[in-house]
Formats: sequence, C-alpha cells, structure tokens
Amino acid sequence: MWFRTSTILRSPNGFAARAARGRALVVLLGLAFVVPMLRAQQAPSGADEDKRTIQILLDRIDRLEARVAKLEAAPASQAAAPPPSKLEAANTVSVQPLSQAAPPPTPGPAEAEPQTETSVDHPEPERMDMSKTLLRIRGFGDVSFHGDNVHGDTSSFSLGQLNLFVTSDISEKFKFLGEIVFESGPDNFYGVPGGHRNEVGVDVERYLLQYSYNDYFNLAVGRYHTAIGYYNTAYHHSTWFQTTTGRPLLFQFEDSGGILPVHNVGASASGRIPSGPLGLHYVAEVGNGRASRAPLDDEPVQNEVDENNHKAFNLAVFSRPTALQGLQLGFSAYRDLLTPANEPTAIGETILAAHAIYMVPTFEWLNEALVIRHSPQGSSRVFQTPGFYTQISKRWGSYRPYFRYQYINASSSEPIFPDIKLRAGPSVGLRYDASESVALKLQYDYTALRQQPGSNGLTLQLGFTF
Amino acid sequence: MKHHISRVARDSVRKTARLIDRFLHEVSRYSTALLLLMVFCVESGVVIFVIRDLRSADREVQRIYAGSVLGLRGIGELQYQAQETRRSTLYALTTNDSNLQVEYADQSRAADRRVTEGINDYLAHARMQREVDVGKRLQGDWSAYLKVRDEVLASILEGSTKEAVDFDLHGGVPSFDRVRQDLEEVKRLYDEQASERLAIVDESSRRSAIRLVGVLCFTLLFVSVSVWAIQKSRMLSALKLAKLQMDFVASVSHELRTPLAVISAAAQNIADGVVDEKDQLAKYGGVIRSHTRQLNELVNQILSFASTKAGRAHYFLRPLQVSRLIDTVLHNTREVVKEAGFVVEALVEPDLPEIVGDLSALSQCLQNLIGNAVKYGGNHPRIGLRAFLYKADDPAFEELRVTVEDHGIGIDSSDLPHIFEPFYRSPVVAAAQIHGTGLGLPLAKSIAEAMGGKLSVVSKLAVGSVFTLHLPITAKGNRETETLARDSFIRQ
Amino acid sequence: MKRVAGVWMSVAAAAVLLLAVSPRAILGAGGRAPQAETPGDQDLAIIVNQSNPVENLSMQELRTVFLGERSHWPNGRRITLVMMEPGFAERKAVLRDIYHMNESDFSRHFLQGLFTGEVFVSPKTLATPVGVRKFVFNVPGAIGYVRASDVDDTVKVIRIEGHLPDDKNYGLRIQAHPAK
Repeated sequence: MWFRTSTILRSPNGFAARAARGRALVVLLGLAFVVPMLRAQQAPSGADEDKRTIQILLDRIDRLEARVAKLEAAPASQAAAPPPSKLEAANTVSVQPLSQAAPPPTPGPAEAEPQTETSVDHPEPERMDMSKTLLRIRGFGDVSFHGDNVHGDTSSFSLGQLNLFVTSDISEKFKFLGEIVFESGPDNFYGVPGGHRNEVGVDVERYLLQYSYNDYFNLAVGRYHTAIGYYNTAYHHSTWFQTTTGRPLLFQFEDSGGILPVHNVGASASGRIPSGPLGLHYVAEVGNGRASRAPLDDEPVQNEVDENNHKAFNLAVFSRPTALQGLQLGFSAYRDLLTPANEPTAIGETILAAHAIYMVPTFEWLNEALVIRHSPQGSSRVFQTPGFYTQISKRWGSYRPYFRYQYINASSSEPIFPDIKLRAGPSVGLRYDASESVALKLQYDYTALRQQPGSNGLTLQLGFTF
Repeated sequence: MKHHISRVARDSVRKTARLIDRFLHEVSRYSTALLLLMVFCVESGVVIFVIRDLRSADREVQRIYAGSVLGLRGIGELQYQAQETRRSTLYALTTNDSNLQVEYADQSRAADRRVTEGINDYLAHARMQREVDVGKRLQGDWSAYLKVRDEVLASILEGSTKEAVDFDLHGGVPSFDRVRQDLEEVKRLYDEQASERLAIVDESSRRSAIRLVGVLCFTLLFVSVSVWAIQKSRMLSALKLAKLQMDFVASVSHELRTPLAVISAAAQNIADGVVDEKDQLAKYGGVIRSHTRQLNELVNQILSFASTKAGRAHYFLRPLQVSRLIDTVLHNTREVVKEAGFVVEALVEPDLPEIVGDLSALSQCLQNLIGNAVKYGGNHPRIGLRAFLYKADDPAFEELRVTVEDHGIGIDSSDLPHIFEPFYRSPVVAAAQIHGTGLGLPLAKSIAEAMGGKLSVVSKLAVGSVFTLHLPITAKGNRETETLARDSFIRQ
Repeated sequence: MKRVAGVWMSVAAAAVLLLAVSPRAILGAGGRAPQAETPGDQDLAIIVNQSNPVENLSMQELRTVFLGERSHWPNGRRITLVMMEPGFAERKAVLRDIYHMNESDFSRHFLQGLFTGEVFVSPKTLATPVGVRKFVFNVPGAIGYVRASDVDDTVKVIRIEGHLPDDKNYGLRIQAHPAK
C-alpha cells in the first residue's frame, strides 16, 4: 500500500466537505450490509475480479519460486565439481552420506539394501543439497480499494505488496531469512515520485543470515529493519499482521515517502540482558544507513554502496517486565551522517525514539514518539522533527475496531525531507478476520496538513497470508 | 655265498611254513564258531573305531554348524540391522513431518538395540583372544557410531537438516565404515574356524575310510585264511580218521586173526588127532571157548559201535539197582580178570538209590572199563570197582558214581583229550604193542551219555587211572522209556 | 482543523477510559482466573530430555520458553518446543494456562515471531502423546508436555514453581470437562 502524501482533499468551502462526508457515510453503511454477505460466500464465490487476481498472483508465485530456486542453486553449482550423474552413481554405494539417500514413501519395515559391499572408504564431501534443506516460503499480500478527496486522485483498486517471506533452517545456529516483495505503483523518495504507476517491481526488502549463539547474543547480517522504536521491527512488509491498513506515517517505507531509515544494510546484534523480572533486551546495529542524495533518483536504502564512509549506528534497549505480560517499554538512539548533494556540508542525523506498548491477543495499545535531529556540520542550527502515534484496538470475536492518531511536524526548511511539514490526524477502522489467514479492513483516515486542507480517505483492504 | 644265502632263505621259508602249518593245525582244532567269534570280535573292534570316528565327525559338523554357520548367519543379521539403523536415520531426513521423523527415529533405535544385543552375545560366546579383541573393537566402534547417530537424529528432529548432513558426512560415514570393517573381520574369523573344522572332519573321514579299507582287507585275508585253515583242518581230520580207520582195520584184523589162528590151530590139532586125551581135549576146548568169546566180544563191540554211529542203538531204560549192575559186571568179567591174574575189589555203598538205565548197556560200559583196566593194568593186578552216592550241597547235583580204578601204565595228559575219540590209540600204547580197537572208551562214553550221565577220567602216567561213570538219580517208580542213542561221534 | 483533531483525541481518550475501567474485558483470555479443580482433571507434566540440566521453571519462565522468547537452555542447547496437534486436551490446557491464547492467536504469534526473527524455530507438532515423548527423548533441547500418566522413564519431568505433577499446588491441569 502506498501512502498518498500528495493527494489531499482540497475543499474551498464547507458545503463540499459536508457533501463528501455524507458520501463517505453512505459508502460505510452500504459496506456494513455487504460484509455479512461476504462472510456467507467465503471460499467458492468471491468477487470474480479478486478470484482472477488471486489466480494471477498464484501463477506468478509459482514462476518466481522456480526462479528463486534457480538463482539460489546457480552460485553453488559454479563451485561444485561433480555432475548430477556422479551423485546418482554414488547411490549404489552401501555406505552413503545422508544427502544421497533415496526417500521411502512411508515408515515401516524397510526393504533390505543389497549386501554388495563396495570398497568405498570415505565418500567425498559434497556440496549442500538444496532439496534437503528446509526452505520455507510463506506469502503475504493484500488488495485494496481506496478513495479520497485529494484533487487528482481516483478511486482505485490497488495491488498491495506481495511479500514472499523465505526462511531456511541451515543449522542449529544459522538460519536464513528473506523478504522478497513485489509492489506496484510509483516510488516516492522524499516527495519525488519515481518509476511507473502501474508497473510491478521487485525489492529484496530483507535479506538476513541469522546466527543464534544463545539467548544473550544473536547476530544478523544483511538487510534488516532498523530497530528504531517498536513498529519497525514488529511489523514488516505484510499488512495482514498489522491491525490497520497501513503503517503509521512515522514508519512509512523509504520508497513510500517515509522519513526514517526503516531499512539498513549491515549487522545487527541482539539479545537478552540478565535483569531478572525487568526482562531487558538490547539491540546494537551498524550499517550503511540511508542515502540522502537530493534530488534522489536511486534506491534510498544503500544496498551496495554507502554514500560516505560514515556508518550508521543504532542502539536500542527495551524492557518486557515479567510482572505484566504484554508490556514493552523501550528506547533507541540512532546516529548517522548524511551527505546530501545539494548541501554544502554533511548533516548529522540523530533519531531518538521511545515506545510504550501493551499488547495481548485481544487488546493492544501502541504508543511511540521520536524526534529526528538533523544538524549540519559547521552550523549551530538543528532541525528537529518530532513525531508520535498512538494506536488502540480491542478484539471482539472476529471483529477488531481500532483507532489511531499520528503526528509529524517537520520544518519547512528541513534539509533532508522538506516536503513533510506537518501531518497529523486520526484513523479509525474495523478489522474483520474472515479466517485465520484472511482479514478484511475498513479504515477512514483524516490527515491535516500545514497550510493546506486536510484529506479524507477511505480504504477497504483484503489482507491475507498463504 | 649266494648258495648259502638261498639255502638260509629256503630254510627260513620252510620254518615259517611249518610254523604256520602248526598254527593252523592248532587253530583247526577249535570249532568254526570260535573262529567266527574271533572274526566278529575283530570286526566289532574296527566297527567301534569307525563309529567313534563317525561320531567325532558328527560332533565336528555340529560344532561347525553351531559355531560357524549359525555365527555367520548371526553376523549377517547384525550387518542387516546395522544397515537398518543407518537407513532409518536417513529416512528421517526425507520428511518434514515430525511424526514420521519420530517413527523413523524409533525404528533406528530398535535396530541399534538389536545390534548392541548381538554384539554383546558375540562377546559372551567369544573364546579365542582374536574373537574377544575384534568383538571389543566392534563394540567401541558401534558406540561411537551411535553417538553420531544420536546427534544426527536430534538435528533432523530439530529441523537443522544441513547440520544433520554435516554430522553424518564427517562423523557418521567414517564410524559406520569402521563398524562395517569390524563385522567383515568377524565374518572372516568364522570362515577360518569353519575351514579348520572342515579340515578336521576331512581328516577324520579319510582316517575312517583307511580303517574301513584296512579292516575289509584284513577281514578278507582273515576269512580266506580261516576258510583255508578250516578246510585244511577238515582234510587233516579226514586223513586222520582214515588213518585211524586203517589202524582200526589193521588192529581188528589182528584181533580177529589172533583168536582165529588159535581156534584154527586147536581145531586142527583136535581134527588131526594130535590131542586125544580128555584133559587135553578139555584144555583145547577151553582155549577155543575163550578165544571164541573174545571174537564174540570183539564183534559185539564193533557192532555196538556201528549201531551207535548209525544212530540205531536202542536202550531199554528201567529202574535198576546198582548192586545188580555190579553183580552183572563182575559175573561177565570174571573169566577175563581171572585169566589175566587180576583181582577186582568191588565196594558198593549200602542203600544206594535206584537209577534208570539199560542193564546190558551199562554192564557193557563197565565191562569195557574193566577190560581196559586189565589191558593197561601193568604189573599191578588190583582193580577197584566202587559204587557210591555223590552228595552235593544242592540236592539237584547229587548223582551215583561208579569208579573203575587201576594202577597200570596210566594215560599221558596229551592223550587224555583224545581217548574218547573213536579208533584213537595212544602212541605210548601203540609203542607198547598193546592191541585194541580204539572203540571201548568211545562206546562206554556213548552209553553213559545215553543214560543221561557222563564218563570222566583221572589218570597219571605210571600211576594208574580212575574212570568214573556218573549216573543221575531219578525218582523212584516204574517208568519204562525207550530212546535212541545219541550219535555222540557226530557231535565231536 | 484543530477542532477536528481535538474531537478525535477526545474520542480516543474516552475509548481508553472505557477500556481501562474494564480490565477484565481488556485482558480477556490473558488474565484468566485459575480454574476450579474438578474431579477427573489430570495433571499436565512438562517434560524435557534426560540430558537437560533444568530441574525447575517458574510459570513465567515456562511461558517465556513456550512463547519462543527464549532460544537456548543454560547448557547451550537450542530449545525445541514440541506441541500436540490441535484437538488434544493437553494442547488446549497449554494454550489456556501458559499461552493465554486461542489457536489462531497461537498460530499468529509464532508466525509473527518467525517473521520478525524473534523466534528462531517454530514449534514441532506431533500427533500423539507417545510421539511427543519420543521426540523429547531423541532431541537434547526439546521440551514438551504430556499427561502425567503418559510419562515414562525415557524423559524427565521438571518442576513448575517447585511443584511436580500430583502435588497439591501444581498449577497445570487438563480439565476433564473443559468450560465452554
């Protein structure tokens, strides 16, 4: 889901605004009658278009899985010497390494192997057999229908991010985790649109090799979500997990206009801190940080090359006290040096964040606040951009109403993201879990802007996991 | 020199032949049954050896089966279960279902328990040091493999597949290979033991075969020799009998001719009128009468012998007083005894029980004995005739005995076994030119045996002889039976 | 605009107050009162591998382990959680008394944990209590649960809050007639 920061409803007079609100109310009521019908006609009969869309997505997933398998096998095949036929020939040896064993259909009395004992002393160690590793792919996706009163915007169905969540248990200590996301729509880098509107692009949003030594030390290397606040590490590229239809303004992805370095490429260490009932945890990260070239015409996440030698550091500490299950209190500090092209000096970036979360299966209350400080080197001026959000929801059966209020206030002369300015407003919605894997959300957003009329938006989203 | 050697050789051969001949002559005296008994004993001895060898071979085969064959089968089972342990572990890798993985883990553990039990069983039965060494090495290698297997299973169940593969590749494969080599070595040990035992059985069989062949050859040779000996013995017996018969004919001719000559001469003298006086006529008449009686006795003896030989002797058995028998015998032998100048001292116990017998046959028997006592009495004219009851502890063994004792020339111990043979004349008697037919004693013995008794003799050269007629005592009562005399000669 | 924002803030505050006065409504299944013991209930034993050095866990520590928030035992072995398939009374007891979740919340929790990377390995699911016991026997870092009557000497039962199954104050029970 991409965030329409530039599409806001402009209402020259109150009558038009009232009329718009009336239309929204009618849509709301109409949908309230549609929901029970949807529930009664779940599996076989959805909207024909949704069915066709889902089928298209499934076909595309099949093709992508095959491509992923090929890509992953390709580097290993360059290093390996023996051809497949040699492996098949080696299957006749009675003393076989595990990866060469032929699988039986069911357990039970096994067939006797031929007693021909050939004189193979030690078979050559062979490369890892991908088919024998437990590679798991879990998918997430969503489809939305949204409309708002921003001039120039249209009511549209939109494909949300198709997220392929890939994990592989390499060993007891090592695990691979990746998120491959297919998304449509243009990018929005600091208010600069890029790309084509309806094309689907692919991003490797997370790419991690995790090493778990013990509860006190875990290391992940690759591309990860920066541990700033709570939301960024609790929710990734899947709307199904989230209560709301989209992320808070503060935690929007970089290519959707977000102001935080949501992604980072580097290393992240985490673990528990022995603290008894306090339940302290730490996260320490180092990475490339985000790009700051302006105008930005490249991926803001520095996957390959850092724009400067300075690395971004982040340190977070949070507590999960045992006295109250579900409570988490934390604080993080992020530090980086940005070198925008249009600035004469580098700009130091400091992000301080705090959060207080209470989350149990039937109730959640998320509160986060942060301040982004940009201080150009050689200057005493500091640009501070505060932001916060609060989100509350309660579950009744399969229904979960929620409310969120969020606020960002950036200076107009903010050197890095001058387009943000003030954005604040509530969101209210209802989530309905049609099944364990499918959720339907209806959300109304109001966003107040600086020196501009506020925008009203309505979104109906179908989020799912597969 | 050569001539001397050949003469010595010929002498040796002759001596050996004479020895063999003498041996065979000695052997031929014994009955065929005895020879067969000897053959049977020899055969039995060899059969016992052969049976012993067969049993020994059977025991070896049993040992081979129990030790090597069953052992090889057990090792084969161990190899299969070891493979099963590993196979089940590999199967767990092929599924993501934890339930199936646990099932395969169970199978692997069940198989490894069977292998462990098999190895412990092998060690418990190991006797040789090599077996113990390889068994302990196998036990250690198997334990090492199981440790790796446990880690592999844990990794598979935890989901760390690659780790499980690595564990097995670097730890499981080499340790299992060592186990496999140990099992192969155990198999080789069993093979060697089986080969050794087969060699023992082979040797035993060869030995048995040699023994059998040897025994067969020996038996063949022995039987051939025995048959030859028996045939020769028969031939010798026949020759001897023929010689005896010739001697008998010669002796009978002389016995007949002598009284006939006297009778003829006397008759001639009477006919010629040489003798005309009454006294001389009486004397010549007495001579003719005594020689006629001799001829009569001789003919009777020959006829009796012939009838017993032909099985046509008839005896009329009836209760008989011993005193009557004695009186009859004394009466019949009075003249012979008197003419020979002998005296018969008869002594009959009083109150002797009756016996059952033929009076004339028994009289003939005792008369022959008294006649021999007179003939061979030498210079001692006293002949003892005694009848008495022989008392034994067991009344069943009581019998009546009549002894005829002389103090004459006696009988040599080498002649004693033969004196009851028909036509037999001792060389001593022949050398002393004491004439006789050789039928008296055989006839007396035959009569004694026909009466249910026997005739025995005790004699010593130059001392005398005692012939004893043993007669059984029967219950009193008038019982008359008639039997045919047994042909005792045939039985000889 | 400020007025609109103020209205929405008021609505939010009212919602917070409303929910705050009914903690039971908030906590829902989270703060369930202890179930009354009824005849026929059986104890639920928490079992670990024989080589596991852990002898006792507090309820909080047990919950931490079962939620996947703890990944290793003190001896360095990775924790492998073993669950039974849905439908078993043992699983229902664990979801009720340890997780305070229903099936969908449980699935979502572990999916999200894997998604965020906090949970390293998702729980294994076995079809039978015997399967759970055998799994725990085979894996040094495994922890699972079975009825106390299904325990044998191949696995070790750990104390919860210092109590063993069959103790009077043992807190994990399988209800014979679970409340609807």
